[in-house]
Amino acid sequence: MLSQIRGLTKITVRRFWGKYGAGYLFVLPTVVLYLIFMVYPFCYTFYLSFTDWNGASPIKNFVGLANYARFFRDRLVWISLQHNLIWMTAGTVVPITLGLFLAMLLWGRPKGFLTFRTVYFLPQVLGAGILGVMWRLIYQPRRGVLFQIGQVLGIEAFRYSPIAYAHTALPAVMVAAIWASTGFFFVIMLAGLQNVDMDLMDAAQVDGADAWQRFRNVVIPQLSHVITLVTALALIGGIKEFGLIWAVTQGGPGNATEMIATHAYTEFSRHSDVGYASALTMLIAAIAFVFTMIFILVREREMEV
Amino acid sequence: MNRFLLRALVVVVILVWVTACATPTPGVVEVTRIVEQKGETVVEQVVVTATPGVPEEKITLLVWDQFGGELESVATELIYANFMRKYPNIEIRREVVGRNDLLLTARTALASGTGPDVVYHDVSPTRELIDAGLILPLDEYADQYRWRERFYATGLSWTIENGKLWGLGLEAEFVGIFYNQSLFDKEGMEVPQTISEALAFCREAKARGYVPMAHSQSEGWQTFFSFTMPAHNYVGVEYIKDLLFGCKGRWDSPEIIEAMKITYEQMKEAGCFVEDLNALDFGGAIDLFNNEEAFMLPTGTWVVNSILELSKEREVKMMPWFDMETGQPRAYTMGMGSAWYVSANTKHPNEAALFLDYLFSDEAVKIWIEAASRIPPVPVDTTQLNLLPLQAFVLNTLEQAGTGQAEYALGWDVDLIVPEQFNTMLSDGWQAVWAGTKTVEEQMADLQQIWEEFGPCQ
Repeated sequence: MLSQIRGLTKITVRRFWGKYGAGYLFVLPTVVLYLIFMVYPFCYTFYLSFTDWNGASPIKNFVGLANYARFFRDRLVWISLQHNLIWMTAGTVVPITLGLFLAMLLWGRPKGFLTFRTVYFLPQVLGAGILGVMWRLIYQPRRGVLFQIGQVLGIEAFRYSPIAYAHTALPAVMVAAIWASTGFFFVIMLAGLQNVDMDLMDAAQVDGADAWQRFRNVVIPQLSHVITLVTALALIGGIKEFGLIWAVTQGGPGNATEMIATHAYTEFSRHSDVGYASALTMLIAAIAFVFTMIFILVREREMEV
Repeated sequence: MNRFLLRALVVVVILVWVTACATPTPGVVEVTRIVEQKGETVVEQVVVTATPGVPEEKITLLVWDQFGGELESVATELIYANFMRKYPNIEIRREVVGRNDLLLTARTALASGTGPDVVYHDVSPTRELIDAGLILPLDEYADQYRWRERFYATGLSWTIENGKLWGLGLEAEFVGIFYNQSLFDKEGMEVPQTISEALAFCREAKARGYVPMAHSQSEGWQTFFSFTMPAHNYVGVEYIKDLLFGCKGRWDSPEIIEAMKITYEQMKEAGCFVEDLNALDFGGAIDLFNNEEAFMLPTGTWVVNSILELSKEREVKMMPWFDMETGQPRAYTMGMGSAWYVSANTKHPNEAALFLDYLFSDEAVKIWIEAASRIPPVPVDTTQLNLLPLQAFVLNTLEQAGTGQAEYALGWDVDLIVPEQFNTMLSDGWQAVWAGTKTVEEQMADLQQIWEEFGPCQ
């Protein structure tokens, strides 16, 4: 009996590897890299969030939930969360809407399609560091492009650098972020539009539906999976935003553009509080996970209905 | 074989052995020739003695420094090359690491055991590396190379922790106000010496289309000086000394609050700074000064290289912050930018110490001062140096500070002594005050609270 079971198991395993072995071998390098560069650092950061490590000492003292409890006493966490929420909202709705609008304009492959597609996508090719330097130069007092335009056109508001003031700094950086990210969403939306059933569009037109009705009742439903994807990506990007903010304002002026990620970075790099910085990054991960799951579940439920 | 030939052979063998094995031994080498008359034969022995720590095999020292600027990098390369020429068995492998990157990566690199043997690191953040056991104490080498006699005590004090010497500071510096005397003369204006004169000057200069003072706040660290200098001059050096080292006094005292109100309210109202102060970065401030759009530049002496070209064509001078009219003397605030440290994990501590010692030799100091505008805290024969007036002024002031003969009072760059959380509040808080989202009183209360929570007087 036992030998029969062993024999059957051997056959099953051989069949399994015969059928799926090649596939597993192909994904193995990626999985290994993922484990080394994503899973291990994540787990180690999670572990560090329960310590008081300063990044240099050979000793890491276990402090339990003290770093997490500190969130409630740290006013910068709440200020940063507000900014992240604003960024997630505006940074999701605006570039996706703009991306979809641009994709609709180029859907019919008009003249200059290739040129427009390249131009729209170009900012996405630049890294956050380059974008940050570029927009700092645009916003620079007395020298920047915005100031020069204000001088030439006589626009008084442009004489002032928007990143110098608490009430305009965040919107100013968001303008840069939206400009940079719209191209990405545009390309994805454009690809999604290629899968829209044109017969349905024609049928709707025959039935008397106007452009807005065709867009709302034919295009949007067929783009729902794409919209879900880009929205999830935008939400995750919004909660972990760091590069552009740090390059342009470093969270200033006076914490007016502080994000959870910049706060974590300051705790790590300036205060050498690696434990608390790790806890803050866990907060980022938790919020990103929760928001994304909620959104996906809501979307999936709507599509079932 | 007869005896003469045998003895001659012995001599030849000895000479060949000495030549092959002991030449040219780097470091301090003593050569002793012993001549003996043995009968009819004269035997000459050459005895070579190397001081301890001088390798006979070739070793490599990995050195991390921050000298990425054009002039200073060339100066550094020259010093390293001269060292390697003098000590051919020690190779210096240089890696230039930007300041921000170095502060982030040095701790992990030093802890890993594969990091630099010698690192040029900011003084204040090195304290945690010392506490973590990553830096080698240098007291033994201080005795060997007589550093305590050769350095000014004020210079060495910045790298002494818990009674031990941990590094050798290179950038003795002080903070004040650079001003373009030629521009003042051209506009027919007097250089303000008191705060009242400064406020009047600001109004007039702004009316003429200038930026009176090229202060910047975008990166945040510039607020250290707009805080430290007025505070020192308002309450006096002794008050600040008691605060920093004696646990007496408060940062939110009415006097310091008043000093800050003068800076962040009255000077703001008088138009002393650009309106978009929080968006102006340090490079932008230097540009304003170099392009003669601004009369004054409040910053430290490490910036001399950046305004050297202007100082060749114009008369550029330096003075302490304004007299705050409280009866306290005007003060320069002193500091030590960065220092050379040796990794506790280095496999070549003796060679690293030898390298450190060379960095402060007469020939190296000349290059540091003339080419890199770095002033080591050692006595210097200024007659041997080729300096511009501004460089000479900085050097003389530091010499006077080192010998206790300073013309002005001397205070401290507070940011080098306080906890980093205090510095973060200085950066963020003064930006908020300028932006109007925080009052001076709130900012000083926050600084006091952080001092009580993270400072040495808990």
